[in-house]
Amino acid sequence: MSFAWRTAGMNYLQYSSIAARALRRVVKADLQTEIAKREGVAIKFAKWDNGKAGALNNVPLIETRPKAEN
Amino acid sequence: MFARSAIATRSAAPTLNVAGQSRNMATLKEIQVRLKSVTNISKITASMKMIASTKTTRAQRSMNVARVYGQVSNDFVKQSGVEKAEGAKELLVVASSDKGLCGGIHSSLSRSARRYLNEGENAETPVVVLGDKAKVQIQRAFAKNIRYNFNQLGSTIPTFDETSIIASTILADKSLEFDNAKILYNKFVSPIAFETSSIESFPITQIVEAPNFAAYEVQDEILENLNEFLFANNLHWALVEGHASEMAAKRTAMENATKNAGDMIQRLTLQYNRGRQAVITNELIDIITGASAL
Repeated sequence: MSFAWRTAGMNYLQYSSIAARALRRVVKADLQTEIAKREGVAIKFAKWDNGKAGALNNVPLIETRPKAEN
Repeated sequence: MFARSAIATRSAAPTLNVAGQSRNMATLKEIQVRLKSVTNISKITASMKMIASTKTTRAQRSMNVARVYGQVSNDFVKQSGVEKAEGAKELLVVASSDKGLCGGIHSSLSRSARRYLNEGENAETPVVVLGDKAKVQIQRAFAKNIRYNFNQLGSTIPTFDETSIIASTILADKSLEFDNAKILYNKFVSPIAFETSSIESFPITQIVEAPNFAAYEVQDEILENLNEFLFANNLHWALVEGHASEMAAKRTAMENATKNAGDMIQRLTLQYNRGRQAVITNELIDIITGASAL
């Protein structure tokens, strides 16, 4: 058995975070406000090469919705 | 001894009275300005303490949850009886944050990172730094070891989404080539104490070879998933617990700052009132001597 999402180039963490995102979007409205805080990532990262920091980049996010809807 | 010398200087310099008086006038104004700024600072630190207190309670609550997850997965690893392989390549992950004003929490982390890297065999260990505070401190001596740094974290409780992304970025980079990950973090001992310690994250390839692993009957296909999850889980535990320690340390630091500012306010008020009294007395003496001279 091989996983379809792994063939698509995702790892388990990306797969499960997309699943979690889907779940968060369908919970009842009264829980939405509490749960909304857990979404959204503002982390930036820089790759270092030989003691020098590279440019600061946004972390790669897998979009599951067109940008206009967010 | 101090009192005696004070008396001696006072009696030895009565001629400097005029100069002393004018200096007194100037300092009175200065003290007033100083008093005002210290009062403002103490107000700020007091409100920062309040914010940190509420954040501590929330961070502690989510830490308790993350700790359970972390400990369960670590129990599994421990029960499998895995031992660190000889000559395993290590990766050092330092879980700090971006925000300061919380005592020695970041320097304690980077100090133990430096101590680790100073040991001969670890000199080449790649380092991933989470948070800007530790980055600056590690960069000074071990810039060559740093492979990645992440920032914009630590202002809120770290979410598993964030941790997942950090973990996948680290795991996706094949050039890192590590077997074991050593995650340095600040362990939350009590609201007033933290302890810098580390979580060892073992790769699945080593766990599979452990003596008791067969008892778990894990299917081969999910081993890679398990490996990724274990790493992210350990990282999440470290980040959330580090966040709780940081907030608690911030609370303590701000409490001390407020207390010190209070002491300072008291001392300055006393000094100010004394100075004011002295000026009034001097003016009275001037008037009386002037009147009796007529």
